[in-house]
Amino acid sequence: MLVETAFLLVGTGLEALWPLVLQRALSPLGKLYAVSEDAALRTVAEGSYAVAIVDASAVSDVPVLVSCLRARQPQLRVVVVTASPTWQRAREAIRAGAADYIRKSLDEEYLRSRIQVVLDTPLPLASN
Amino acid sequence: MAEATILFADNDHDFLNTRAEFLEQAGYRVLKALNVQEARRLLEEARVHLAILDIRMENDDDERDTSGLALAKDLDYRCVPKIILTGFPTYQAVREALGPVLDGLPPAVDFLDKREGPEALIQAMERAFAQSVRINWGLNVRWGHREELQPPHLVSLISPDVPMEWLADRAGELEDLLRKLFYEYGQVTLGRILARRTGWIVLSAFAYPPQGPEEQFVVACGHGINLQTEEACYRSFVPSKAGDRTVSLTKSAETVHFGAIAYQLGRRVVEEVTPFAEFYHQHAADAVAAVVDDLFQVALHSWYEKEREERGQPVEALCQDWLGPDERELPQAELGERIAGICRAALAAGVMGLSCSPHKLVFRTPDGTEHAYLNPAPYLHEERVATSPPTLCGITHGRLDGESVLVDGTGQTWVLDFGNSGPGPLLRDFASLETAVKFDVLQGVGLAERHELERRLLDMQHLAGKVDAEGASPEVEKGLRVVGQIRSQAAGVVGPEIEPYLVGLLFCAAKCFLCHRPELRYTKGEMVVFTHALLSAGMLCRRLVAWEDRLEDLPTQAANSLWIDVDNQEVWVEGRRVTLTPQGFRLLKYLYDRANQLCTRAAIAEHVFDLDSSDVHPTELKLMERDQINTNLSRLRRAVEPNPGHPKYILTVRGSGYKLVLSNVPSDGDN
Repeated sequence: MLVETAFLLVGTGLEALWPLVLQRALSPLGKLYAVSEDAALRTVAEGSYAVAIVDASAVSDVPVLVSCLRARQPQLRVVVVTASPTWQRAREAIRAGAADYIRKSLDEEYLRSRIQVVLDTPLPLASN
Repeated sequence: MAEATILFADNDHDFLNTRAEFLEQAGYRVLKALNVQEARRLLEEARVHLAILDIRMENDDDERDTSGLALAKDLDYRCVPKIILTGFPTYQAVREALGPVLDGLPPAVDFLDKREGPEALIQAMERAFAQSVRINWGLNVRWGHREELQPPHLVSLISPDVPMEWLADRAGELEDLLRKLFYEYGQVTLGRILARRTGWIVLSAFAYPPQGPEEQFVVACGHGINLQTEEACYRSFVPSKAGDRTVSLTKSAETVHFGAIAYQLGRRVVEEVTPFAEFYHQHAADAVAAVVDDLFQVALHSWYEKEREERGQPVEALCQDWLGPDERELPQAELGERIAGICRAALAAGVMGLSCSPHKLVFRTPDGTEHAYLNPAPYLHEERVATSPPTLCGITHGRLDGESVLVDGTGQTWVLDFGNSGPGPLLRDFASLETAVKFDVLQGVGLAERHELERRLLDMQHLAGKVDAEGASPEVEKGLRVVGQIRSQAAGVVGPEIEPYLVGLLFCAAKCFLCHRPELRYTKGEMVVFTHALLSAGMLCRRLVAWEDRLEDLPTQAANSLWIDVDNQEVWVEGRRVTLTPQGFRLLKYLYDRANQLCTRAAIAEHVFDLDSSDVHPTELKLMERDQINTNLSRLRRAVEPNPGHPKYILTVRGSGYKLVLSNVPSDGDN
């Protein structure tokens, strides 16, 4: 059973640089786990994760995935992270139920603060 | 969607006009604003269902201009869904508009680029109306068969100061509120107004889903901020389990100016409930007293079990909060002037009898007798009505009165209006209801009778004591019985000591008479109430104020010896006011009336303790006399004598009885 706040990185493993930075950034808040896009839905259904962080570059259809994750686990907050943000994709992700859409960064403080805001904010409405 | 109204705000005049025309052709009513100020004005004054806001409302060339987004984030208009329509979309703006939440809602419900065209805007608006505006345009609203339930009338009850030119929009907004509140239903019928005060009304409502049985509600409706406070207090303080007396908050809704909460009263038939004030007038004292018992023993019982604690402050310090912030800050001189103004206004309105000076209130009864009391101005803010801590505190309703208590057809009670609920002295609810009975509910009773009511109530030495209603007029007798019942219930919760309770009444009375505004003119009936409240405060001050403040009013005997103030049932010993039990007072009075004379034990037994010797064996009578008299004499000496071990006032005459000596020289060998 998970006893600390659990975060789930979707689409990317923990071996690359950025996921390691993310892991360090979130370590004061909880523990980061990683899972592939294919296993994400099953994983959130079986576990108890506070936030799912979706790597937009490693996922085939961000809005669909966000919508499915929220449908599978309505209490889950989903944050989409991308190296090349656009307003249209930001809109699609948030319309689908994402709590935030942020730029991929190596700044640990930035990453931690964004996730902390999401944790502290009431859940968004369910996707349309 | 009949009358769907859009606020369209954009500083581009041409774009605004062109796009607005398109929307009007699509069937929407469009209000146009070229700047943020105009947009705010329209949000404030008009009936707006959805707002379309540009981001750069001041300068299109300034990428730092996010004035439109700031308006979207304004909490005052959070209940109006917004669509951001901008010519300069960025992902940061999308995040700000759609991401962060205000109390659970994002600042905007959608975000569009102007270049996406008018059709995209129409689609976004249709989504917004379906998902965010959530007004049931098809709801059949029956406004009752009486004119008073029409929307403009209800708006005037909630907001009497609404300008006429805004009344139609506000009436439409009130209707929108009901269509939001009963979104899932096919029809709602409003019954009657159950309660009202400025900014707040309560209605019965009967809602009919498309399929299924009728559902009955009590709907509180009023200024948005009042209903937000009420809902927050309900969720924080109302016990979740009050048995079948649970008043359930089932749904709420808000618009820019109004809020509404729908409650259900268990399985009770809402058509049969009446406000307590109405019940009082329609039923005899016994029935009203039974309702009082039900209110405190059943409906509110679980409230008083929560979070009880003894706070180390005297009750008068805690009661200061019952006055409004303006009243608390009133300097004594201004308070005195307000009181003098009430006396003048009363005289002008034909309410005779009360006059005041800086330190006194004098009431002259119709028979010419003058009763002197204290002007409460010096006492209300200086905590000179002194009681001792601790004060028993807990969760109270905070505003029990004739409107906030409903009575159903079986005499069971339900409370509403939770906006003042929270922690405080437990005596507050009882003092509040007593105040309501005396000042608001009591009708057709002149000032002299009200004075008599107060005088008899002040005779009570303990909350559990019996009120003397004998010989009173029917209305006064009814008031005394009901208030007596309230006090009896108070004794069961806060204990029998009456002085802290009287302090609570003082602040309740002050709150009432401080509602008098010198610049307004009032009817005679209104002035009777204000004057009664002022008189009550003066009488309470006289009862409560520490002896140092009153000595100048008392005869020399009170300061140097033993004196009984018969009118006020008070005992003074060498300048100290002494509290006695009813029996103790009776015994002392008997001796006092025969001062310096021998009172035999047999006479005391017969006249004070009603011990009739005819049916009792002499030996047994002796035992009873001894027990009663000895016990009460002992208590009396402990209360009265400066040195109970060496009495100087109540002396024993060996073998005979007792005498009260009103001199400072004790007799030798009498003890």
